[in-house]
Amino acid sequence: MTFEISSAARSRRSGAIVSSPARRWIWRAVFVFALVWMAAHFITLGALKWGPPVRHDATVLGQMIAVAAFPLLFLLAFGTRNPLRGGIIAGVVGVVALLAVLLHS
Amino acid sequence: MQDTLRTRMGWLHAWVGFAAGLLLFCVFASGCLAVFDTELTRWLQPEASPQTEAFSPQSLDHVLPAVHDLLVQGEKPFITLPSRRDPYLRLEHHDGHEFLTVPYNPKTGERLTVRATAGGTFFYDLHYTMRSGVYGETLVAFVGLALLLTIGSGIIIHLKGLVSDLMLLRPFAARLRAWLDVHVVAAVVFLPFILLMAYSGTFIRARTLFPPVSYLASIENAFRTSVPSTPRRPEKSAVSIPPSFPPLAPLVAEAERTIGAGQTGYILFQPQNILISRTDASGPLLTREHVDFSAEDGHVLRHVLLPGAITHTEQVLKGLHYARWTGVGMRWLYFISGAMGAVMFASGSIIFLMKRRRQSGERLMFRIAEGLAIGSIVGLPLGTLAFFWANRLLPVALHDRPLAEGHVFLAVWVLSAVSGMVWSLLGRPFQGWKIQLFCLAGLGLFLTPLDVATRPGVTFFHVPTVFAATDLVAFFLALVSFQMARRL
Repeated sequence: MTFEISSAARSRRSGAIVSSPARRWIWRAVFVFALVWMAAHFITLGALKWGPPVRHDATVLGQMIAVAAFPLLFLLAFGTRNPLRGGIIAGVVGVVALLAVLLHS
Repeated sequence: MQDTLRTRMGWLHAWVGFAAGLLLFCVFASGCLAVFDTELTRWLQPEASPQTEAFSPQSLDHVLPAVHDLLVQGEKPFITLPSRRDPYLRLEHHDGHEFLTVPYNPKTGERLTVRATAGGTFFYDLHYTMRSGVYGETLVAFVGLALLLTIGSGIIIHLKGLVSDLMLLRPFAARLRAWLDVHVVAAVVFLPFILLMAYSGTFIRARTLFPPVSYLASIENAFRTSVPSTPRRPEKSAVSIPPSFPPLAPLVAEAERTIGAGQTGYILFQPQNILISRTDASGPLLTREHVDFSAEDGHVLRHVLLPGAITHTEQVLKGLHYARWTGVGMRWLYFISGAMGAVMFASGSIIFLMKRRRQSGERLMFRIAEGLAIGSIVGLPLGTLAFFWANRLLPVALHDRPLAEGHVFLAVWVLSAVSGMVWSLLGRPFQGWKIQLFCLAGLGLFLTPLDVATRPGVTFFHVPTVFAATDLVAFFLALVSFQMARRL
């Protein structure tokens, strides 16, 4: 925090335009949130197709996985140094979950 | 600020934690009260003495006329059988917010004259809906997900010092350092409990976040103009309720032959069926196994028990979350762990504000945030104590008394939030914290005298009861609040 304040003060004094990483992180978090939320949604929907034959059990299984996967996937996607890599990880999981909904017979 | 994993996670932990933490404080605080909902109902109905006679199944039939009346009113009444936790027979129904309960003598079936109250289940409803129905339920489930994110990012930040931080508490260090120690100790020691509650709680309400239907279909339905394609069918005739029910004692005996002796907990009444269900206290699996009888002549209709590994996993998660199978010791452990969870959110929010005060203290958004923090961290306990005071001070004959108790709770909470916001916007937030903490200390301190003065048949030498425990917890809260207000 000390570093944060002094850095901001330095940039104000010098008049330089410094792009705050916090602003980038907001957009990154929103983007990752949207991708991960869709992945969790497709996991819940897909469980009815690839999960147990009883609807109640399939729904419960899907929701169990979705609730556990959401924070893990979010932290994984948000934690990568390269934002694109994080987006790709969350996107791939979402696409696989979507394919499981669409293609599973 | 450098863009590293730790700084990214720190940023996520701080902002998601603060935004969700104010609501999560309320969820955890009300949750740890909900663990003792049955006991609190007994405190809130002091006319029912702590000890009573042994249960006689024949007494159940005396409750049936009241059950019939509730069914005619369209309610779904159920009888809770006496247990070690609560020796009374109770007739209950849900009024849309909480379970209203009327106690009966377990031996004679005679209705006890007690005050009407929202009872301990008021906090249960508050815990998972914030008294806002399905919208509140969705919001609480959503902050549950946010909690999982916050825990994950918190673990990543503190991964190196996770073990060493366990023993590090410096209450007399600089203020920020002391609050940080409180936050880390509360979070690390009780991490398994908080993680279990966060996951199981979010999963239990997952249907509001991740329904098993496509969002696209839901959106399409929302925008579709509803044109009735077929002429409206005539209204379905109301289901008839039998004029009288069969005697309940033989039905309970029959149900016990199927689900085990002493394992029956609830008798749920529907217009055509009587469901006798397994008690939640029977074990960690919340199976809700039930034997159904005909409401006409009492013959057995079916025995319902959901099988399967996934269903059992769901039942275990629910059982661990609700903790209705536990004894008193485990219940206290849940209470303390929940309270420490609330301490974690409160200290986290205070740290968030302290770190930003110098840089952003003059900003409007910061002042609003601090006002909200006062309203949440002090306002909820204030409202809770006001609820207990209202229970004892409102006239017993007051119409809609349970609703009035709820209104007092909400009024005090809103007043606290507004007052906190005003002090904060005036640039004197410490004044806001102090005044409210002193009010909280006063309400907590004088709850014991209030209890003694308004409880019929007070004796000082009896077995430890819910009355003593509730008063002592309020007294402890008063001491903590007083000390906090003094040190501000």
